[in-house]
Amino acid sequence: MSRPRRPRPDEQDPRPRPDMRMRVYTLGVLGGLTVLGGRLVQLQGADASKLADDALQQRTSTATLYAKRGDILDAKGVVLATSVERRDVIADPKALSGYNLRNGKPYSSKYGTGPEGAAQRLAPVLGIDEATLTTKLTGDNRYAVVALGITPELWQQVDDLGIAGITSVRQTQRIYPTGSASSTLVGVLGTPEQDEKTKAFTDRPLSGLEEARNSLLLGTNGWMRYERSAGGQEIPLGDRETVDPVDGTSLHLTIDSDLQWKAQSAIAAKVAETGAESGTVVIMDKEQRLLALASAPSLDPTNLVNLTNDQLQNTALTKVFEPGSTAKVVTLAAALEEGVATADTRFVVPGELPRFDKTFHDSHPHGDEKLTLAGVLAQSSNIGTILAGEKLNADLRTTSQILHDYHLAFGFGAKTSLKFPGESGGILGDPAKYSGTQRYTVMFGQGLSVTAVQAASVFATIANDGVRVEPTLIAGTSAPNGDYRTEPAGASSRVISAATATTLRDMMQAVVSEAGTAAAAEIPGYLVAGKTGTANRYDVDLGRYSGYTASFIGLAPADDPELVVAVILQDPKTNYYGGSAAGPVFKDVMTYALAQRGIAPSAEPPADLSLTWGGDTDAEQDISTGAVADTAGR
Amino acid sequence: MSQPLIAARKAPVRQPGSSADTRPELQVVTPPATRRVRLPLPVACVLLLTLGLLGLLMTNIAIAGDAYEITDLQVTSGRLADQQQAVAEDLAQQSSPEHLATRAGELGMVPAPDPVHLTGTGAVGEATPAPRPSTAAGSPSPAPAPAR
Repeated sequence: MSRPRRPRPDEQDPRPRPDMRMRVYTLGVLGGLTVLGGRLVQLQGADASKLADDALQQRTSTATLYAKRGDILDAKGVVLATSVERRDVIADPKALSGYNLRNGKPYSSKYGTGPEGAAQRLAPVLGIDEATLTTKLTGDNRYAVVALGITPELWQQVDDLGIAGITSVRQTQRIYPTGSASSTLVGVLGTPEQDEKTKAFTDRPLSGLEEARNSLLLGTNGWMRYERSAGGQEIPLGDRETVDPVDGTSLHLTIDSDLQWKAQSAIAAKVAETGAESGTVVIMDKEQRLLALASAPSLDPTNLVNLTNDQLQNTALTKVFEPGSTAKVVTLAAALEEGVATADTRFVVPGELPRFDKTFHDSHPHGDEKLTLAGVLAQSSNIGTILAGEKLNADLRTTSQILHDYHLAFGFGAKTSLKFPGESGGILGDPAKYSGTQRYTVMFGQGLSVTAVQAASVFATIANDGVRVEPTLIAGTSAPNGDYRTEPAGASSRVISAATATTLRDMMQAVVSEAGTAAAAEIPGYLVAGKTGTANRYDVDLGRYSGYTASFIGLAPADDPELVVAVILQDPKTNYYGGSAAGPVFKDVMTYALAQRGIAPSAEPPADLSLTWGGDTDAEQDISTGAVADTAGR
Repeated sequence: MSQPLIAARKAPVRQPGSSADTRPELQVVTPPATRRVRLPLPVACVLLLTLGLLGLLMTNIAIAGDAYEITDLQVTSGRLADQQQAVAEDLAQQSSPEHLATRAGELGMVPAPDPVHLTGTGAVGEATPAPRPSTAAGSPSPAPAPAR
């Protein structure tokens, strides 16, 4: 280079010219700005809502607000079933393997490290053996169940230890404070079902009222969505949505838990003593409000392992049996109501009675006996009952139809309005299609089937001066806001006249006298009217008659009835007579119930109806020596 | 340079001696008795802004503090609810008839025998002394006096 010269335009200069440089810079800056601007437009315009949603998701937390299942309470408000919160403790063994370790060194010198260290701290709180716990917390998996169903308070203590990798899942548990006394009536909840998607649990009732009224007891879960900081603290003035949970409705039963317990323990003891297959006690007042529905065997609601279907059933409503002699009351009620007989109508009862293709007998052999209608009932004579039944109409078919109408009116053959799971309506044949023998057997309660509640209902109708009220079990419901609604009373209908009902009560008093079949059911101070039953029991498994059904159903006080107690024993092995097997249970339960409800003793003298006529010494002899058993033989 | 000054510069200069005799006499006037101290506007603005910001900050702090307090109270409420539930559960268990019967048995109590009723016509029923408890648990019960 000798001297500087102006470069020619066509000459290539290795250095960029200043204006060129400026241009390149400008273009670069503009390009950069365009890219940034475009990205800005893309972010703000196109993806804005999605990104804002993602950001909201990051800081939004949704919590389920659980609804409480309704309680089940008795008439006095004693809790029969309630729901409580429980926690399942879940561990993450992979996370726990690094417990109290930082860069392979213990972080805090106070505690051990790894699963052993965590177990060391958890064991005393949870009350689990340390070695067992260590085994549970060790592993490469991410999920291990440590403890099931601990109380929230205990979980709080576990939570306060602050061990990372230990979490809890909320569960609800149903508790039944009255235990096995009312488990078959109240029912039980099984293992809850979990929804795969929402992880929410739904109750799965197995039996009883829990199942029958599940939709009422069930609440509706709510949820809460709020914005929170990284530490889990709610951001004030952030978005917050809450849908409150709606708790379930509580049921108030007509049941008295004390009576229920008394009945349950009495029948369970008797079932064990007699080796019976099952037993039932029904207690109701004359308006047929059920005060107890005890069923043995029962189940322990705290231990649902190995439960059988039989244990879940409340036999008072689910088991049907041939009532036997207790149904003679219906036949005699029909005879009285139709005006074809009175309490002192005279019958000559032979020792055997050939009818159709069968010869009927009484429970004990005897010659011709001169019994009144009251005597027929007191002695529980099958033959006497047939003779009284035949008076209804000269035509046997019409007689069957008349009796059938009375059965229906007394509530046989139809389910009650209780809507109880597994309830049976009993079995009542079509009177037009009865077999020849059946036309006679239904008169003394064989060849038809009833439930214990239906059988007790007959006596409650007689106690209520002939008006039958549909049995009720639920007195009312209370909504979660505390509104109490009384359930409507059962529908009532007149079945027999008040006069007939009074006569029947007078006649049934003799059953519980020295002269009757159930002296064991006598209660000092109270007049008791009742009827024993010892029926041949049809065994479904064997497909034939096998064993007996022993029963005693009675009402007290007979002069001013308040309560009805029915005791039914299925297939007792050691003692199958209604009077001596079921009678004592009746006495025990009824005595307790009368005292507990403060019912005054009878003021009237006993109705001393004559049981025999024409000075029939043989019959009286039979009665006084206690040779009167009571079997509706076939 | 502001407009009035320019106007003043451009104003025609008075000729001296042209109207000296007609010039009004100037008088010394006393200044106003009090001069109001006035805060300069910019300072006032800054002060107002600062105060406003400070107020806003305080409000925010209070709200945030309340949020923490709410959380604490909710935790307390939850714990109390747990306690209440545990106690109610315990009470329900304790008051079940079965449990009461067991406890009564432990205390040496027995189910009452048939009651005797006093009516207008005299005593009804037969008085029987209570049976001795079968379980020897609990305190020894005094020998029941025969009721008469």
